[in-house]
Amino acid sequence: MNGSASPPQPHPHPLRRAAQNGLMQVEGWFDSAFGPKLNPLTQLGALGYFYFWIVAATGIYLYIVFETSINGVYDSIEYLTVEQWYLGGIMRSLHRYASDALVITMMLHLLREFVLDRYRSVRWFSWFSGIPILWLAFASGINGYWLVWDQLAQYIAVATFEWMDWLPLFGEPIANNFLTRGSLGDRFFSLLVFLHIALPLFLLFAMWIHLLRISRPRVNPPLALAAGTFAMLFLLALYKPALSHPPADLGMVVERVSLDWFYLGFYPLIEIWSAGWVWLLLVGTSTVLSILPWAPPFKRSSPAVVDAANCNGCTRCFEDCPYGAVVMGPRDDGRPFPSIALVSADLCTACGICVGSCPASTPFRTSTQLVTGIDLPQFTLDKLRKDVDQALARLKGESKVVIFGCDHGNDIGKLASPDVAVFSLPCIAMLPPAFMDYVLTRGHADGIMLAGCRENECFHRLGVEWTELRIGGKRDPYLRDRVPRDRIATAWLAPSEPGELAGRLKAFRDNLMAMKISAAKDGEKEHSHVS
Amino acid sequence: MSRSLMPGAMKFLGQGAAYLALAVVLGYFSNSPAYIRLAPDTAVIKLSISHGGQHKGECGTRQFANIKETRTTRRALQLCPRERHSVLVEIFLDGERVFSREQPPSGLSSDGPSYFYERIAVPAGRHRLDMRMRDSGRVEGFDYETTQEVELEPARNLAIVFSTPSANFVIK
Repeated sequence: MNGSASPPQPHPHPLRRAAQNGLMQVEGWFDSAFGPKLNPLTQLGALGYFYFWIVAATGIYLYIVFETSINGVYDSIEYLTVEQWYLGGIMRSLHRYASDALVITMMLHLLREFVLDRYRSVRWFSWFSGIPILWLAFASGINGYWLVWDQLAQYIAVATFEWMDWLPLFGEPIANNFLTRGSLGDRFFSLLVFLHIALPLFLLFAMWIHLLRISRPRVNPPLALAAGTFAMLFLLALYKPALSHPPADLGMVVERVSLDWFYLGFYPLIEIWSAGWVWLLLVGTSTVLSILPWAPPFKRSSPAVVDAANCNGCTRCFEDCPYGAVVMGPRDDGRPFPSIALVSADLCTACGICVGSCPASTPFRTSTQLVTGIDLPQFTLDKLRKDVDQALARLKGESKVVIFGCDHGNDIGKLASPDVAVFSLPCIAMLPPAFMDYVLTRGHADGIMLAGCRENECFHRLGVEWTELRIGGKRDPYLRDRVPRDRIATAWLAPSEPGELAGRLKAFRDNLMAMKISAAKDGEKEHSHVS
Repeated sequence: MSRSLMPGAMKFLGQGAAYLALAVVLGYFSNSPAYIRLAPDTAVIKLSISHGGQHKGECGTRQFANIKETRTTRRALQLCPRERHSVLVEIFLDGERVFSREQPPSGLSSDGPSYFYERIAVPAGRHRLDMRMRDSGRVEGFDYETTQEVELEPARNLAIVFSTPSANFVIK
C-alpha cells in the first residue's frame, strides 16, 4: 500500500544512476572490509585534512635543514635523503607520499560528491569553494618540486614559466630567467621557499572556507583509519624512499624525467599540445565545474518554516541541522522563552531533519490540524499523519508493516502491498520518534521498518546517525521506552540494493509472525494455567 | 543495524589489500612512468631575443624657442615618433631555415621591444648557424647577420640572444 510520499524528486539521469550504483558497489566492498565507520571512501574529506597535516608537519622539519642558496639547495636535500635517511629521508618521503595521497583523496572526493549529486542547492558553496582548493593544492605541490633543484625541478620550472608566458601578462618572457647557466641567483630560492609557505597557508585558509556552511564537518578521520593510512605511508617511505634526479644544469636540456603524475601529469601536454590548449583545458574544466551547481535539473524545495506559537526555543533543530540553516534568535512574541528558531532560507535544503527533532512533532496531539514547531511547507507533518492514519486503516494481513523510507535511498514504492504501507520522506530523520510510537502503540501495525541511506553515506549527512541515536535513547527527542524495539527494523542500504531491502523486509515480517505465534502460545498457556 | 562485515581474518586481509593497493598506486605513479622529452642525439637551440625595432619615421630636431616652453624633464633635442617597426628573425642551420618569424613591437603604442622565445630541437653534432635580423622595415635584405660554427653535444641547451650594444647575435 503506497501510503504517501514527499513531493516527487527528479530522477537521476540514467548515467548518474549507473555511476551511483557502481560507486555503491565499490563502497560496499570497503564497508565489508573496514566497516561503515572506517570506510575510507566515506572519510575522503577528513583524510584530505589528515594528509595535509602530515605534509605540514614533515615540511616544517624539511624547512629547518633546507639550504636556500643555489649551490646548497641540492646538497642539503641530498644530505637529508642519503646521510640522514632514518629521519630526514623518511620525512621527505612522507612529505611526498602524503602530498600525492592528498591529490588522490581530493579527486575522489570531488568525483564522489558529483556522482552522488551533492553539489546543488545550498551545497553550491562547498562545491564552488572546492575549486580554488584544487588550484592551490596543485600550485603548492608543483612549487615544492622546484625546491629540490634537480633535473625534474629544472624541467618543471622552465615548463611552468614557458606555460605562463603564453598569457599576455608579461612583457619580456619570464622563461628567460632560466636561459643559461648562471641565470639564477640565491634570491630565487628564497622566493620559492616563501611561496612554498604562503601557498599552503592559502590552501589551509581555503579548506577552512570550504567547510564554513557545513555543520559538524568531519576534519579528522577515525583513529584506526588515521593509524592505518599513516602506517601505510611510513612503510612506503621505508620501502621506496623519495629520491632526487641529478642536479639541475641549465646548460643542458632535461631529456628524461620521472614525473610525479599526480601533480605533474599535465606538463607533457604543454609540449605535446601547446600552452594555450592546456590553459583552455584547465581553466575550462575549472569553469565548468564551478557552474555545475546551477546546471539543470533545478530542484530547490521551499525552506522549513517556524511556527512561533509551537516553538519553545528548545534548540534541538538548531543542534540537529546538518547545514547550519537553523539559528536561535531572540523572540518578541511575548512567550516566556528566551529564544526562537530562525531558518536561513539560503542554507535550508528542506531535508526535514529539524521536523523530526522538534518535540512538538507528535502525532498524539488531538488537534484536527497537527501544527509543529518547525515544518516543511511542501510536505507537512499534518499531511504525514493524515496519510499514515488512512493507510493504517486500510492495512490488512497477519503481519502489518509500515515502511518509512528516504527519497535518496531505495525506491520503497515497490514494496507496497495490502499489508505493507510505505512512506517516503526527504530524509529518514524527518520522522519524529513519536511517530514510531504512534504507529506501534496504537496497534495499527505490527512493525516499522526504517529504510534510509547506507550508514555514513546519508545524503543529508546526519540523518541516519540521528535516527539511530534517537531510537537508542541517546539523542533528544528519544524514542519512548514503551515502544518495543524488536518491532522496529532498520535497513540502511544503497539505492542499488533493492534485493537486500526486500530480503530484510521478509526476514523482519517472518520475525514478527514468529513473535505473534509465540505471544499467542504464551497467551494460551497463561489462559489454561489460570483456568 | 549495519551491513554484514567480513569475518575477522578476511576483514584484515581486505583492509591490507586496500592499503597495499593505495601504496602501489602512490609508489608507482609518484615517479613512473618516465617522460621522455627529447629524442636521443638531439640538442636544443633556445632563441631568446628582446629587441626594439627602429622607429617608424624620421626624428626631428626641436627648435630652441619651443624647448623653453616645455618642462625641464622633457627638453630632448630630438623628437622621434613612438611607433617602431616589426622585427624579423631567421635562423638557418646548415643552410636550412629552422626558424622565421616577424614579431610586432609590444606596448599599446607599438613602441616596445619585440620579444622572441623559441625552443628548436636540432640533431647533435657540428653545424653552421646563420642568424639574421631585420628591424628597419626594409623589404629586402637584413640589418644584422651573423654566421657561426657550433658543436652541439646531445642534450646541449644552446642559447641565442641578441646584444643591442654590439648589434650582433651572441651564442651562450
